[in-house]
Amino acid sequence: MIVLDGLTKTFGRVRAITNLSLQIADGTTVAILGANGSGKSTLLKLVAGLVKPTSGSVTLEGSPPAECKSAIGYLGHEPFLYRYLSATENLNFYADLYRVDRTRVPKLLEDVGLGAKGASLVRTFSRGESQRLGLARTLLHEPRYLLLDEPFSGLDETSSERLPGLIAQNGRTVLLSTHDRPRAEQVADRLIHLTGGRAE
Amino acid sequence: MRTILALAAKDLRGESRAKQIAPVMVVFALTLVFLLTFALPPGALRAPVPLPKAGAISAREITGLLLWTSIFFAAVIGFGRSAAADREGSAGDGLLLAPVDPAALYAGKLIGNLAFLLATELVAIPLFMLFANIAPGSLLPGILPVMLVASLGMAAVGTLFGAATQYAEARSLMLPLLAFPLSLPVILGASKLTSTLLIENRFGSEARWFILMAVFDVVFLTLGAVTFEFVIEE
Repeated sequence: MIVLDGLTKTFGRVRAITNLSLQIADGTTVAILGANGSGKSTLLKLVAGLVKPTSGSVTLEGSPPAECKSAIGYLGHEPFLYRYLSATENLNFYADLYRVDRTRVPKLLEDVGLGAKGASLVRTFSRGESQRLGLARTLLHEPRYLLLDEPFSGLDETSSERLPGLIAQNGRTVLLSTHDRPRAEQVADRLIHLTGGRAE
Repeated sequence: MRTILALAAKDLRGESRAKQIAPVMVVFALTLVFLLTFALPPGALRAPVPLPKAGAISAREITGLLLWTSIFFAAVIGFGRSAAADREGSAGDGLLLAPVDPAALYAGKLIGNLAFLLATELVAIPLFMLFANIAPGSLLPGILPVMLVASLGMAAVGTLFGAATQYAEARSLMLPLLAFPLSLPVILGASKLTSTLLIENRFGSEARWFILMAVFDVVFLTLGAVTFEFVIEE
Protein backbone atom coordinates (compact mmCIF):
# COMPACT_ATOMS: atom_id res chain seq x y z
CA MET A 1 0.00 0.00 0.00
CA ILE A 2 1.16 3.52 -0.79
CA VAL A 3 0.42 5.97 2.02
CA LEU A 4 0.81 9.73 1.73
CA ASP A 5 0.41 11.49 5.05
CA GLY A 6 0.15 15.27 5.17
CA LEU A 7 2.48 15.56 2.23
CA THR A 8 3.68 19.05 1.36
CA LYS A 9 6.37 20.08 -1.11
CA THR A 10 7.49 23.63 -1.74
CA PHE A 11 10.06 24.96 -4.20
CA GLY A 12 11.12 28.30 -2.80
CA ARG A 13 7.84 30.16 -2.31
CA VAL A 14 5.89 27.93 -4.66
CA ARG A 15 3.76 25.20 -3.09
CA ALA A 16 3.65 22.26 -5.49
CA ILE A 17 1.84 19.86 -3.14
CA THR A 18 -0.18 20.99 -0.12
CA ASN A 19 -0.99 18.75 2.84
CA LEU A 20 -1.97 15.75 0.72
CA SER A 21 -3.08 12.57 2.48
CA LEU A 22 -3.94 9.52 0.45
CA GLN A 23 -3.95 5.73 0.57
CA ILE A 24 -3.57 3.61 -2.54
CA ALA A 25 -4.41 -0.06 -2.12
CA ASP A 26 -2.19 -2.78 -3.54
CA GLY A 27 -3.07 -3.98 -7.02
CA THR A 28 -5.03 -0.90 -8.01
CA THR A 29 -4.42 1.54 -10.84
CA VAL A 30 -4.89 5.16 -9.86
CA ALA A 31 -4.86 8.03 -12.34
CA ILE A 32 -3.96 11.53 -11.21
CA LEU A 33 -5.64 14.15 -13.32
CA GLY A 34 -4.91 17.82 -13.40
CA ALA A 35 -3.88 20.76 -15.51
CA ASN A 36 -0.27 21.72 -16.15
CA GLY A 37 1.36 22.87 -12.93
CA SER A 38 -1.19 21.16 -10.71
CA GLY A 39 1.51 19.10 -8.97
CA LYS A 40 1.10 15.73 -10.73
CA SER A 41 4.77 15.31 -11.65
CA THR A 42 5.97 16.49 -8.25
CA LEU A 43 3.66 14.00 -6.55
CA LEU A 44 5.06 11.11 -8.59
CA LYS A 45 8.64 12.23 -7.91
CA LEU A 46 7.86 12.35 -4.19
CA VAL A 47 6.50 8.80 -4.26
CA ALA A 48 9.52 7.64 -6.29
CA GLY A 49 11.89 9.27 -3.81
CA LEU A 50 13.43 11.57 -6.42
CA VAL A 51 12.47 14.63 -4.38
CA LYS A 52 12.06 14.86 -0.63
CA PRO A 53 8.93 16.19 1.07
CA THR A 54 9.08 19.56 2.77
CA SER A 55 6.79 18.04 5.39
CA GLY A 56 4.68 14.92 5.77
CA SER A 57 5.67 11.48 4.57
CA VAL A 58 5.43 8.90 1.82
CA THR A 59 5.60 5.20 2.60
CA LEU A 60 5.36 2.09 0.45
CA GLU A 61 4.67 -1.06 2.47
CA GLY A 62 5.52 1.01 5.53
CA SER A 63 8.96 2.06 4.27
CA PRO A 64 10.15 5.33 2.76
CA PRO A 65 10.91 5.14 -1.00
CA ALA A 66 14.69 5.16 -0.44
CA GLU A 67 14.41 1.83 1.40
CA CYS A 68 12.43 0.00 -1.26
CA LYS A 69 13.99 1.16 -4.52
CA SER A 70 13.82 -2.32 -6.06
CA ALA A 71 10.05 -2.26 -5.70
CA ILE A 72 9.62 1.04 -7.57
CA GLY A 73 9.55 1.64 -11.31
CA TYR A 74 9.35 5.28 -12.36
CA LEU A 75 8.96 6.77 -15.82
CA GLY A 76 9.11 10.55 -15.91
CA HIS A 77 9.03 13.09 -18.71
CA GLU A 78 12.56 11.98 -19.64
CA PRO A 79 13.27 8.28 -20.27
CA PHE A 80 16.57 8.22 -18.23
CA LEU A 81 18.46 6.67 -21.13
CA TYR A 82 21.98 7.19 -22.47
CA ARG A 83 21.91 8.55 -26.00
CA TYR A 84 25.18 6.99 -27.12
CA LEU A 85 24.26 3.47 -25.97
CA SER A 86 22.01 1.16 -27.95
CA ALA A 87 18.59 0.11 -26.68
CA THR A 88 19.96 -3.27 -25.59
CA GLU A 89 23.04 -1.72 -23.95
CA ASN A 90 20.84 0.71 -22.00
CA LEU A 91 18.65 -2.10 -20.68
CA ASN A 92 21.66 -4.33 -19.95
CA PHE A 93 23.16 -1.47 -17.96
CA TYR A 94 20.02 -1.06 -15.87
CA ALA A 95 19.76 -4.84 -15.52
CA ASP A 96 23.22 -4.76 -13.91
CA LEU A 97 22.21 -1.92 -11.58
CA TYR A 98 19.05 -3.76 -10.48
CA ARG A 99 20.84 -7.13 -10.42
CA VAL A 100 18.36 -8.57 -12.90
CA ASP A 101 19.21 -11.28 -15.41
CA ARG A 102 20.07 -9.72 -18.79
CA THR A 103 18.17 -12.50 -20.57
CA ARG A 104 14.96 -10.56 -19.84
CA VAL A 105 16.04 -7.75 -22.14
CA PRO A 106 15.17 -9.18 -25.63
CA LYS A 107 11.67 -10.21 -24.49
CA LEU A 108 11.07 -6.80 -22.98
CA LEU A 109 12.17 -5.07 -26.18
CA GLU A 110 9.69 -7.24 -28.08
CA ASP A 111 6.95 -6.36 -25.59
CA VAL A 112 7.35 -2.62 -26.23
CA GLY A 113 7.62 -3.11 -30.00
CA LEU A 114 11.34 -2.41 -30.25
CA GLY A 115 12.56 -5.94 -30.93
CA ALA A 116 14.12 -4.93 -34.23
CA LYS A 117 15.84 -1.85 -32.80
CA GLY A 118 17.88 -3.41 -30.01
CA ALA A 119 21.20 -2.52 -31.67
CA SER A 120 20.19 1.05 -32.58
CA LEU A 121 21.61 3.94 -30.60
CA VAL A 122 19.03 5.78 -28.52
CA ARG A 123 20.08 9.10 -30.11
CA THR A 124 18.47 7.88 -33.34
CA PHE A 125 15.12 7.13 -31.64
CA SER A 126 11.96 9.17 -32.09
CA ARG A 127 10.18 10.60 -29.05
CA GLY A 128 7.72 7.69 -29.04
CA GLU A 129 10.46 5.06 -29.34
CA SER A 130 12.39 6.65 -26.48
CA GLN A 131 9.22 6.65 -24.41
CA ARG A 132 8.66 2.95 -25.13
CA LEU A 133 12.26 2.11 -24.29
CA GLY A 134 11.90 4.16 -21.12
CA LEU A 135 8.88 2.04 -20.25
CA ALA A 136 10.93 -1.12 -20.86
CA ARG A 137 13.58 0.26 -18.48
CA THR A 138 10.86 0.92 -15.91
CA LEU A 139 9.44 -2.62 -16.18
CA LEU A 140 12.83 -4.38 -16.35
CA HIS A 141 13.06 -5.27 -12.65
CA GLU A 142 9.33 -6.13 -12.40
CA PRO A 143 8.49 -3.43 -9.83
CA ARG A 144 5.51 -3.85 -7.57
CA TYR A 145 4.83 -0.10 -7.70
CA LEU A 146 4.75 1.56 -11.08
CA LEU A 147 4.80 5.36 -11.28
CA LEU A 148 4.18 6.78 -14.73
CA ASP A 149 4.21 10.48 -15.53
CA GLU A 150 2.16 11.16 -18.68
CA PRO A 151 2.90 7.66 -20.06
CA PHE A 152 0.71 8.15 -23.17
CA SER A 153 2.58 11.26 -24.21
CA GLY A 154 4.41 10.75 -27.51
CA LEU A 155 2.95 7.29 -28.11
CA ASP A 156 1.10 6.40 -31.28
CA GLU A 157 -2.37 4.83 -31.12
CA THR A 158 -1.10 1.23 -31.30
CA SER A 159 1.42 1.75 -28.50
CA SER A 160 -1.16 3.58 -26.37
CA GLU A 161 -3.55 0.66 -26.72
CA ARG A 162 -0.82 -1.82 -25.80
CA LEU A 163 0.28 0.14 -22.71
CA PRO A 164 -2.49 -0.82 -20.23
CA GLY A 165 -1.79 -4.52 -20.80
CA LEU A 166 1.91 -4.00 -20.14
CA ILE A 167 1.60 -2.04 -16.94
CA ALA A 168 -1.22 -3.81 -15.12
CA GLN A 169 0.44 -7.19 -14.68
CA ASN A 170 1.20 -9.36 -11.65
CA GLY A 171 -1.09 -7.45 -9.28
CA ARG A 172 1.02 -4.35 -9.65
CA THR A 173 0.03 -1.04 -8.05
CA VAL A 174 0.06 1.70 -10.67
CA LEU A 175 0.01 5.44 -10.10
CA LEU A 176 -0.07 7.42 -13.32
CA SER A 177 -0.55 11.05 -14.18
CA THR A 178 -2.37 12.32 -17.24
CA HIS A 179 -4.53 15.17 -18.41
CA ASP A 180 -6.36 12.80 -20.78
CA ARG A 181 -9.55 12.01 -18.82
CA PRO A 182 -11.07 9.47 -21.27
CA ARG A 183 -7.83 7.50 -21.29
CA ALA A 184 -7.60 7.70 -17.49
CA GLU A 185 -11.15 6.38 -17.10
CA GLN A 186 -10.28 3.51 -19.42
CA VAL A 187 -7.24 2.27 -17.48
CA ALA A 188 -7.73 3.36 -13.88
CA ASP A 189 -9.72 1.92 -10.98
CA ARG A 190 -9.74 5.30 -9.28
CA LEU A 191 -9.29 8.92 -10.39
CA ILE A 192 -7.79 11.68 -8.27
CA HIS A 193 -8.00 15.29 -9.43
CA LEU A 194 -5.18 17.61 -8.37
CA THR A 195 -5.64 21.39 -8.38
CA GLY A 196 -2.92 23.64 -7.07
CA GLY A 197 -1.26 20.75 -5.29
CA ARG A 198 -4.47 19.72 -3.47
CA ALA A 199 -6.60 16.66 -4.10
CA GLU A 200 -10.25 17.22 -4.92
CA MET B 1 31.79 -4.74 -8.16
CA ARG B 2 29.38 -5.60 -11.00
CA THR B 3 27.74 -2.20 -10.53
CA ILE B 4 31.04 -0.32 -10.51
CA LEU B 5 32.20 -2.04 -13.70
CA ALA B 6 28.82 -1.50 -15.36
CA LEU B 7 29.00 2.22 -14.59
CA ALA B 8 32.57 2.58 -15.84
CA ALA B 9 31.85 0.51 -18.96
CA LYS B 10 28.78 2.64 -19.68
CA ASP B 11 30.87 5.84 -19.63
CA LEU B 12 33.72 4.37 -21.68
CA ARG B 13 31.42 2.80 -24.27
CA GLY B 14 29.38 6.00 -24.60
CA GLU B 15 32.51 8.10 -25.00
CA SER B 16 34.00 5.71 -27.58
CA ARG B 17 31.03 6.73 -29.78
CA ALA B 18 30.34 10.30 -28.72
CA LYS B 19 34.00 11.41 -28.59
CA GLN B 20 32.99 14.44 -26.55
CA ILE B 21 35.39 14.09 -23.60
CA ALA B 22 38.86 12.66 -24.30
CA PRO B 23 39.47 14.39 -27.69
CA VAL B 24 38.46 17.76 -26.20
CA MET B 25 40.76 17.20 -23.22
CA VAL B 26 43.67 16.25 -25.48
CA VAL B 27 43.22 19.24 -27.81
CA PHE B 28 42.92 21.66 -24.88
CA ALA B 29 45.97 20.21 -23.09
CA LEU B 30 48.05 20.27 -26.27
CA THR B 31 47.08 23.85 -27.05
CA LEU B 32 48.11 24.95 -23.59
CA VAL B 33 51.40 23.06 -23.46
CA PHE B 34 52.26 24.23 -26.97
CA LEU B 35 51.61 27.86 -26.03
CA LEU B 36 53.53 27.61 -22.78
CA THR B 37 56.54 25.82 -24.26
CA PHE B 38 56.48 28.22 -27.23
CA ALA B 39 57.01 31.07 -24.78
CA LEU B 40 60.28 29.54 -23.56
CA PRO B 41 63.54 30.44 -25.32
CA PRO B 42 64.82 27.67 -27.67
CA GLY B 43 66.83 25.03 -25.79
CA ALA B 44 65.80 26.50 -22.43
CA LEU B 45 64.87 23.09 -21.06
CA ARG B 46 68.31 21.70 -21.86
CA ALA B 47 70.22 24.69 -20.41
CA PRO B 48 72.08 24.21 -17.11
CA VAL B 49 70.24 25.08 -13.94
CA PRO B 50 71.71 28.29 -12.46
CA LEU B 51 73.33 28.29 -9.06
CA PRO B 52 71.03 29.51 -6.29
CA LYS B 53 70.85 33.25 -6.61
CA ALA B 54 68.12 35.73 -5.76
CA GLY B 55 65.64 35.88 -8.61
CA ALA B 56 67.39 33.26 -10.75
CA ILE B 57 65.26 30.41 -12.00
CA SER B 58 65.74 27.93 -14.81
CA ALA B 59 63.08 26.97 -17.31
CA ARG B 60 63.37 23.39 -16.11
CA GLU B 61 62.27 24.40 -12.63
CA ILE B 62 58.91 25.64 -13.90
CA THR B 63 58.38 22.98 -16.56
CA GLY B 64 56.41 20.72 -14.25
CA LEU B 65 54.06 23.53 -13.32
CA LEU B 66 53.43 24.38 -17.00
CA LEU B 67 52.66 20.75 -17.79
CA TRP B 68 50.43 19.91 -14.83
CA THR B 69 48.49 23.18 -14.88
CA SER B 70 47.69 22.47 -18.53
CA ILE B 71 46.64 18.91 -17.72
CA PHE B 72 44.52 20.04 -14.79
CA PHE B 73 42.47 22.52 -16.84
CA ALA B 74 42.02 19.95 -19.59
CA ALA B 75 40.88 17.51 -16.91
CA VAL B 76 38.30 19.97 -15.55
CA ILE B 77 36.77 20.28 -19.02
CA GLY B 78 36.57 16.49 -19.22
CA PHE B 79 35.06 16.07 -15.74
CA GLY B 80 32.40 18.66 -16.52
CA ARG B 81 31.53 16.96 -19.81
CA SER B 82 31.45 13.54 -18.13
CA ALA B 83 28.98 14.82 -15.52
CA ALA B 84 26.89 16.40 -18.30
CA ALA B 85 26.43 12.96 -19.90
CA ASP B 86 24.38 11.96 -16.85
CA ARG B 87 22.40 15.20 -16.99
CA GLU B 88 21.26 14.67 -20.59
CA GLY B 89 17.87 13.01 -20.70
CA SER B 90 17.99 13.14 -16.88
CA ALA B 91 19.85 9.82 -17.03
CA GLY B 92 21.41 10.62 -13.66
CA ASP B 93 17.95 10.34 -12.09
CA GLY B 94 17.85 6.77 -13.37
CA LEU B 95 20.98 6.11 -11.30
CA LEU B 96 19.41 7.70 -8.22
CA LEU B 97 16.36 5.48 -8.52
CA ALA B 98 18.39 2.27 -8.74
CA PRO B 99 19.18 0.28 -5.60
CA VAL B 100 22.87 1.08 -5.83
CA ASP B 101 25.28 2.11 -3.09
CA PRO B 102 26.21 5.76 -3.79
CA ALA B 103 29.85 4.86 -3.11
CA ALA B 104 29.65 2.42 -6.04
CA LEU B 105 28.20 5.20 -8.22
CA TYR B 106 31.17 7.37 -7.25
CA ALA B 107 33.68 4.59 -7.90
CA GLY B 108 32.20 3.77 -11.31
CA LYS B 109 32.22 7.40 -12.38
CA LEU B 110 35.74 7.84 -11.01
CA ILE B 111 37.12 4.94 -13.05
CA GLY B 112 35.71 6.44 -16.26
CA ASN B 113 37.12 9.90 -15.47
CA LEU B 114 40.50 8.44 -14.53
CA ALA B 115 40.65 6.53 -17.82
CA PHE B 116 39.88 9.72 -19.81
CA LEU B 117 42.53 11.65 -17.90
CA LEU B 118 45.25 9.00 -18.28
CA ALA B 119 44.47 8.71 -22.01
CA THR B 120 44.87 12.49 -22.31
CA GLU B 121 48.21 12.40 -20.49
CA LEU B 122 49.48 9.52 -22.62
CA VAL B 123 49.05 11.74 -25.67
CA ALA B 124 49.84 15.15 -24.15
CA ILE B 125 53.01 14.31 -22.23
CA PRO B 126 55.00 12.78 -25.14
CA LEU B 127 53.95 15.70 -27.36
CA PHE B 128 54.89 18.14 -24.61
CA MET B 129 58.33 16.51 -24.53
CA LEU B 130 58.52 16.92 -28.30
CA PHE B 131 57.47 20.59 -28.25
CA ALA B 132 59.84 21.37 -25.39
CA ASN B 133 62.71 19.39 -26.92
CA ILE B 134 63.04 17.17 -23.85
CA ALA B 135 64.92 13.90 -24.29
CA PRO B 136 62.56 10.97 -23.54
CA GLY B 137 65.03 9.52 -21.02
CA SER B 138 64.76 12.67 -18.90
CA LEU B 139 61.17 12.01 -17.88
CA LEU B 140 60.53 8.35 -18.67
CA PRO B 141 59.84 6.11 -16.88
CA GLY B 142 59.89 8.26 -13.74
CA ILE B 143 56.89 10.35 -14.71
CA LEU B 144 54.61 7.28 -14.90
CA PRO B 145 54.05 6.94 -11.12
CA VAL B 146 53.60 10.73 -10.92
CA MET B 147 50.88 10.47 -13.58
CA LEU B 148 49.10 7.71 -11.69
CA VAL B 149 49.09 9.35 -8.26
CA ALA B 150 48.32 12.86 -9.56
CA SER B 151 45.58 11.67 -11.92
CA LEU B 152 43.87 9.66 -9.20
CA GLY B 153 43.77 12.74 -6.97
CA MET B 154 42.47 15.02 -9.72
CA ALA B 155 39.84 12.46 -10.77
CA ALA B 156 38.75 11.99 -7.13
CA VAL B 157 38.13 15.75 -6.75
CA GLY B 158 36.74 16.22 -10.26
CA THR B 159 34.26 13.36 -10.02
CA LEU B 160 32.92 14.61 -6.70
CA PHE B 161 32.56 18.25 -7.71
CA GLY B 162 31.50 17.42 -11.27
CA ALA B 163 28.48 15.67 -9.75
CA ALA B 164 27.96 18.38 -7.12
CA THR B 165 27.83 21.18 -9.67
CA GLN B 166 26.03 19.43 -12.50
CA TYR B 167 22.67 21.03 -11.74
CA ALA B 168 24.10 24.43 -10.76
CA GLU B 169 23.29 27.26 -13.13
CA ALA B 170 26.91 28.42 -13.40
CA ARG B 171 28.33 24.86 -13.42
CA SER B 172 31.04 25.61 -16.00
CA LEU B 173 32.33 28.26 -13.60
CA MET B 174 31.68 26.43 -10.36
CA LEU B 175 33.62 23.26 -11.18
CA PRO B 176 37.06 24.86 -11.80
CA LEU B 177 36.41 27.34 -9.01
CA LEU B 178 35.97 24.52 -6.50
CA ALA B 179 38.32 21.93 -7.98
CA PHE B 180 41.36 24.14 -8.60
CA PRO B 181 42.12 25.26 -5.03
CA LEU B 182 41.32 21.80 -3.68
CA SER B 183 43.60 20.11 -6.21
CA LEU B 184 46.59 22.36 -5.47
CA PRO B 185 48.42 19.72 -3.40
CA VAL B 186 48.45 17.24 -6.30
CA ILE B 187 49.23 19.88 -8.91
CA LEU B 188 52.12 21.21 -6.80
CA GLY B 189 53.36 17.71 -5.98
CA ALA B 190 53.26 16.51 -9.57
CA SER B 191 54.89 19.77 -10.75
CA LYS B 192 57.71 19.53 -8.23
CA LEU B 193 58.36 15.85 -8.98
CA THR B 194 58.35 16.44 -12.75
CA SER B 195 60.73 19.41 -12.53
CA THR B 196 63.05 17.52 -10.17
CA LEU B 197 63.09 14.57 -12.55
CA LEU B 198 64.03 16.89 -15.40
CA ILE B 199 66.83 18.54 -13.43
CA GLU B 200 68.32 15.60 -11.54
CA ASN B 201 67.02 12.53 -13.43
CA ARG B 202 65.76 11.21 -10.08
CA PHE B 203 63.33 12.25 -7.38
CA GLY B 204 65.85 12.35 -4.52
CA SER B 205 64.52 13.96 -1.37
CA GLU B 206 61.55 15.40 -3.30
CA ALA B 207 60.07 11.88 -3.36
CA ARG B 208 58.31 12.92 -0.14
CA TRP B 209 55.75 14.65 -2.38
CA PHE B 210 54.50 11.17 -3.27
CA ILE B 211 53.44 10.71 0.36
CA LEU B 212 51.54 14.00 0.41
CA MET B 213 49.82 13.15 -2.88
CA ALA B 214 48.94 9.64 -1.74
CA VAL B 215 47.43 11.01 1.48
CA PHE B 216 45.48 13.53 -0.60
CA ASP B 217 44.20 10.71 -2.83
CA VAL B 218 43.06 8.62 0.13
CA VAL B 219 41.34 11.60 1.79
CA PHE B 220 39.39 12.60 -1.34
CA LEU B 221 38.54 9.04 -2.35
CA THR B 222 37.11 8.47 1.12
CA LEU B 223 35.34 11.83 1.11
CA GLY B 224 33.87 11.10 -2.31
CA ALA B 225 32.63 7.65 -1.34
CA VAL B 226 31.09 8.90 1.91
CA THR B 227 29.52 12.14 0.67
CA PHE B 228 28.47 11.19 -2.87
CA GLU B 229 25.00 10.25 -1.63
CA PHE B 230 24.36 13.79 -0.38
CA VAL B 231 26.05 15.40 -3.37
CA ILE B 232 23.82 13.77 -5.98
CA GLU B 233 20.55 14.10 -4.10
CA GLU B 234 18.01 16.82 -4.84
